[in-house]
Amino acid sequence: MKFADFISPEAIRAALTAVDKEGVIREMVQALLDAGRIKAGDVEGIVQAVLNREALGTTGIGRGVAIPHAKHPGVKRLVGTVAVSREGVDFASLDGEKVYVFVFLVCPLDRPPDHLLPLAHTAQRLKNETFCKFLKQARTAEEIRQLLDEADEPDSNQFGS
Amino acid sequence: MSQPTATRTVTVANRDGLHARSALAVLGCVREFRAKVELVRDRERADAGDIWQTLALGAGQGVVLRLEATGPDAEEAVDAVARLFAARFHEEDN
Repeated sequence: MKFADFISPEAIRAALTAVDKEGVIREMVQALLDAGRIKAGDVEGIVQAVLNREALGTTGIGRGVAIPHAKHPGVKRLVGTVAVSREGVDFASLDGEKVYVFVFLVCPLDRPPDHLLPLAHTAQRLKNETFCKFLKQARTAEEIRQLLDEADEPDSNQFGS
Repeated sequence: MSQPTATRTVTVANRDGLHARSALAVLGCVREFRAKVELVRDRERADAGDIWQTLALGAGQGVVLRLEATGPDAEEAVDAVARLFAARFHEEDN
């Protein structure tokens, strides 16, 4: 599993402008729409699905990272993006801290385990605090894409242990 | 004097596996105890009190995990976590 398997490079956003949870979610869904990964008619449904999922329990799992996700019938295979907020957003995180890095996934309805390995890969890589720090400091989508590529290198230890 | 330990074997029974919601449930459960609880998958160990480590296991439906606890209430801790696994983390869509 690699970030390249589930992150759409054209949907990566380096400077989210939204200042709250719903705003960030809408901005990332728009990014997927702009990248042609979802249909315009599915935007509202996906936003609601993500908000409903957040209501069950925050995906702000700490260290300034959140992993919002939802299932929706409009996607036939898992689509995802990475987005960074420079100011940070209150996401009701487990550690009470703001979130700066979002790994956002939309999964098909009928294949629920699709998001498990991408989540595991995200957790494995983002456990590395240096990698986390570099992502938070990324200034452009290209920088984020390169960081993800480096993290995908076999036995990646570019960021130390 | 060494601390009490306890172990238990559990199987991930819910359809979505040990994903974000269930990992959060495990975290909430172990926080009630003083014992340190680890989830062990083959040679991979995850501190159940660290949601990052739990998610990194990528344990899908059918995966067998060993619970290992160390601390004064180790037995109660593994009991509680095992019950959570048996209840499929109380997720409705299972």
